[in-house]
Amino acid sequence: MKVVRDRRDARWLPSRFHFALFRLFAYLRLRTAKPQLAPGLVMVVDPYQSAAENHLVSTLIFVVLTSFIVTLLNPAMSLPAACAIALPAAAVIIQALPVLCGTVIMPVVRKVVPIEGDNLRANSVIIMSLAIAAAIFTLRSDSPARYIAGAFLLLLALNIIASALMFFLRSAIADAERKFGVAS
Amino acid sequence: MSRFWVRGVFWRQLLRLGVRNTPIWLETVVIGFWSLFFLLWGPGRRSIMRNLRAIKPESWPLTNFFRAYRVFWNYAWSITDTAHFREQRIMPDWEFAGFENFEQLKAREGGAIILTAHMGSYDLGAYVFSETSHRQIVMVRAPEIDPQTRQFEEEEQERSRSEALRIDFNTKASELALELLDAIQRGELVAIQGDRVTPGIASMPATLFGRPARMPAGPFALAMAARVPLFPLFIVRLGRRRYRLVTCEPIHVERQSRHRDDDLHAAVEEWSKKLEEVIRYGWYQWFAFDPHAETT
Repeated sequence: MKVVRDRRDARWLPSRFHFALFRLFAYLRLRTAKPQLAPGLVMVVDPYQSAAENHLVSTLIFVVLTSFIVTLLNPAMSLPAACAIALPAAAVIIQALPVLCGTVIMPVVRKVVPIEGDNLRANSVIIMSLAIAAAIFTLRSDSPARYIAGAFLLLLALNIIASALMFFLRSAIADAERKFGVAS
Repeated sequence: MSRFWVRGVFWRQLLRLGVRNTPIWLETVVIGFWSLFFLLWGPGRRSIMRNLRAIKPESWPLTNFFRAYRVFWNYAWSITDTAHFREQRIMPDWEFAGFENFEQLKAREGGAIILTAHMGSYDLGAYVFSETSHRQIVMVRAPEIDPQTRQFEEEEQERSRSEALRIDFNTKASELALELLDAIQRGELVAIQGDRVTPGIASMPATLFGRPARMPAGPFALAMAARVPLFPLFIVRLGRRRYRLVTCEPIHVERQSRHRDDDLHAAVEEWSKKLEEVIRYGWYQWFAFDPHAETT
């Protein structure tokens, strides 16, 4: 496990972020950050270390799923009633999806494709794909929730652009991280 | 059916399944939901609220109800971080308070006792310590009540076992005391949780939040017998994957008077003061799901 010791500004290392949009933002912050010494501080270089990124993405997926359920229910009931049902339903579905993927889908996939380790990467792809499909469905409807889905898909498009930028910036980022003793 | 009770093995297995299958960027919603679910656990919630009543005597029951949710939320994150470490060797970020005391503990020749509390991720704290120091550490834990959960935990400990860290369950107090004394004399560090008295464990009177309470006597008697200091050390969760290791100045337990209990009592009171100080600041992560003795 890679760690950076005694440097608080290491929190802006792009390798501590997962999504390209956040990695790009972190890189820009890292360029302007001044060295901050903090004796004893240990910062782990892992792509899921950022609290802001993970809380935001988690909330976004929950909101998109809620919007999707509202879109499904809205023709049959009023908008407030649809929201009241959609909120707990989305929470339950989010709990069930990883368990379902891990216990039903992945054992079948593993019989066809040899995958080592845990299911985190595969489940991430499946669940994000389902979220994108739900957002597209919601966007194509005339439900008021379509604006939320639109915003989610816009962020996704920005993330794709950011990942292209990150590709071109890869050597500059590697150089910046090397100053902290982190080899990309 | 006991596997589905709150201390049953089902929840430990579900946590492991969750950590292996839930995308990390989805954890906030998952943990938020489960914290809400465990708020339905009446005895645990009531114990937290009773403890909060002692910590914050002026507060309203409704406010303490929401505070109880915050305790469950922090607990859920702490056990998830521990599970991530066990399954994927992912560590959180760490910072230190009382770094000079921590360095003193690390550099100390010979054994010592680390006195800790049910705060933050105490399991993870012990692992962090053992990985950042060359010192051998023995961690003493209360055994799980449920036999299946106990077996599960012992298997988990065995799986994630490291050379630098050994975990002992205090099932037989007298045998364990001799083992620990031996470990200290070999120069190892012994980590003990000193904020809860379990049945069958010797205790001493103390004052916590201005009320009478009882503290385990074992760590203090062990320090006196081994002639080593006690280092109060707390693991405080600061946020998502961020922890602070708070190391206080050592407590010395020396035989100074004719009455052994008087000398022990002075050390117990010193510990209670430090514990109170840390809990007052970090009440939202004092994972005392059984009512603390006499704080009710």
